Amino acid sequence: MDNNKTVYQTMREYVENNENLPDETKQDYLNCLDQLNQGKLPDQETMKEVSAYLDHEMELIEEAAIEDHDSDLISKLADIRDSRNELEKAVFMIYDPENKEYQESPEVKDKAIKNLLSKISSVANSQPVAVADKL
Amino acid sequence: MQELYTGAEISPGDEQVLGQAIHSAADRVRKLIEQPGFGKKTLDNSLLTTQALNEARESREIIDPLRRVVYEHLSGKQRSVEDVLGCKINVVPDEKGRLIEISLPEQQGEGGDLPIPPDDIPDDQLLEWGKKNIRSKETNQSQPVESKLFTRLVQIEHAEDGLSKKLAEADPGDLIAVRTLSEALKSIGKERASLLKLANARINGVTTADGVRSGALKTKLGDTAVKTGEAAGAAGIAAAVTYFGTPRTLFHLVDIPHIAGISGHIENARNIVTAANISMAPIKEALSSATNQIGALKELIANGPAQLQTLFEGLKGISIDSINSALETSKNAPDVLNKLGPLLDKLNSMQSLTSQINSAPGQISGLQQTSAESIGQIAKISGDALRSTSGEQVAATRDLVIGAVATTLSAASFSDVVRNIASAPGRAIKKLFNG
Repeated sequence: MDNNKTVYQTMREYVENNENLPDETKQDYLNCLDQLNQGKLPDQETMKEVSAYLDHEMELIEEAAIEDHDSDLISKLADIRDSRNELEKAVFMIYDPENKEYQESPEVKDKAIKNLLSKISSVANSQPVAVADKL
Repeated sequence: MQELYTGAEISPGDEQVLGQAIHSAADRVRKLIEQPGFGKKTLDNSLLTTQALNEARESREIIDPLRRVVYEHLSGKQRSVEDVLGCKINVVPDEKGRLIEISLPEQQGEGGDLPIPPDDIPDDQLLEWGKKNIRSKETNQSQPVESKLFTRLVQIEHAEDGLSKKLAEADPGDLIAVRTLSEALKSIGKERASLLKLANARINGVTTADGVRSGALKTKLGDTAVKTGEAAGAAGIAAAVTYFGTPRTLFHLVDIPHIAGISGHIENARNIVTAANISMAPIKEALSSATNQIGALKELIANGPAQLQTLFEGLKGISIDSINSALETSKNAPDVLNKLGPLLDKLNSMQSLTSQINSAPGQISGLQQTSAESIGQIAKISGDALRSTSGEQVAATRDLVIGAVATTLSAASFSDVVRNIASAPGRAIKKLFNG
């Protein structure tokens, strides 16, 4: 396990090494992660797909941690899931076509996007603590 | 009592409740997928169709495995750790002293992979095959995260029971045993805390999905999240009857952070009431004293004139002639004073009483003012306490609601089961048993 890997690096490596993903999908996902890491808002559909994909992967990791009775990892995963919940909520808000506040005020929306990207960057560049092992 | 495949004893009443919960959950999921645009949506390569759901609902042989999934959570009702969970607790000596070895079912090497039904078994015999071959190994089957999480929590509770019992029975002089058992309890407690933390994070995810739904998002991911949330709510009914439904487990609800908040809020409210009572005690005492004084003064005002009248009537009994006679005949001052004494006493009493009656209204007014202030202080203290306790009550209610959402954690279990059934009706049992 390389404890120096960030969440972003771990996720990217995981996507890159996943042989089950079709090449085109894999590239889309990697581009999406890279864009997020660079503070850019990716394509909406791709972002949703990546989010759902990572959610599924998190399920697997959580399952493995529960089976291994790894208290520390379970606790860490709970933290990651909390962060992810926050991000997901923010993403929904930004992409919501019926969100009048954002639709009527591009400045507010821009600010929300910047906050979101900042949060993502913060999570993505945090260290995952043993998650890599499970991945 | 009916013996089910899990070995759990379910009363007819429980069975009815569970049956209703499952049907209700199935109805809600069916309703959900009948929504426009959702019925044909693919999810993990499985096609959810209303027809498949209806088939699932109408077929008792498919519903029964659904029940089994629910009943698995009922391990809390079962009798012993060893019999039910196969959780062995051994004290195994090692180099440093003693090491507690807790062998949970999946560690005992009983199962490994669950047996796969042979392909030549007809569909209508799959259930019987499952009952016969999977009964002893069902805890090893592939389960969604929530099921594993709760199953593990139940296992931990039982293991804790066993460890606590051993600790209670341990020779206090055997420090190694006591320390080892304590450490084992601590370790398992840590695992439980982590599991509960993860459970809460997952609850928050469900709550997010609900929030998204209320925002009327119609995106693909939004729909998925909504489905999760809805299915969570539906399956929560069943889960409530299972993990949270057992009296023994209810005791442990305080260990769940949100639920623990409830007991914390109750404790806070108690403290607020106690503090308020302490603050109010001297004020109440003063108020009580003032009230008594006011009562006495009012009585004086009411009865004073009558007392004056009585005193005045008493004056009639004093003979002025005898006083005059005493003044004329006696040169002895004390004798005169003796004769005058009763008169003077009554006059003094009348003067005093009159004075008291006259000053009573003023005193009453003063005491009433003091009482009003005391009442105001009491009202403020009790009002503050009431507001604070109401805050605690609201917070406790909120936590209770959030805690109730915890019951929705078997969302994935239900939706996955439904998905499995829907993806291959007729072969669903194989899917259910093998994940």
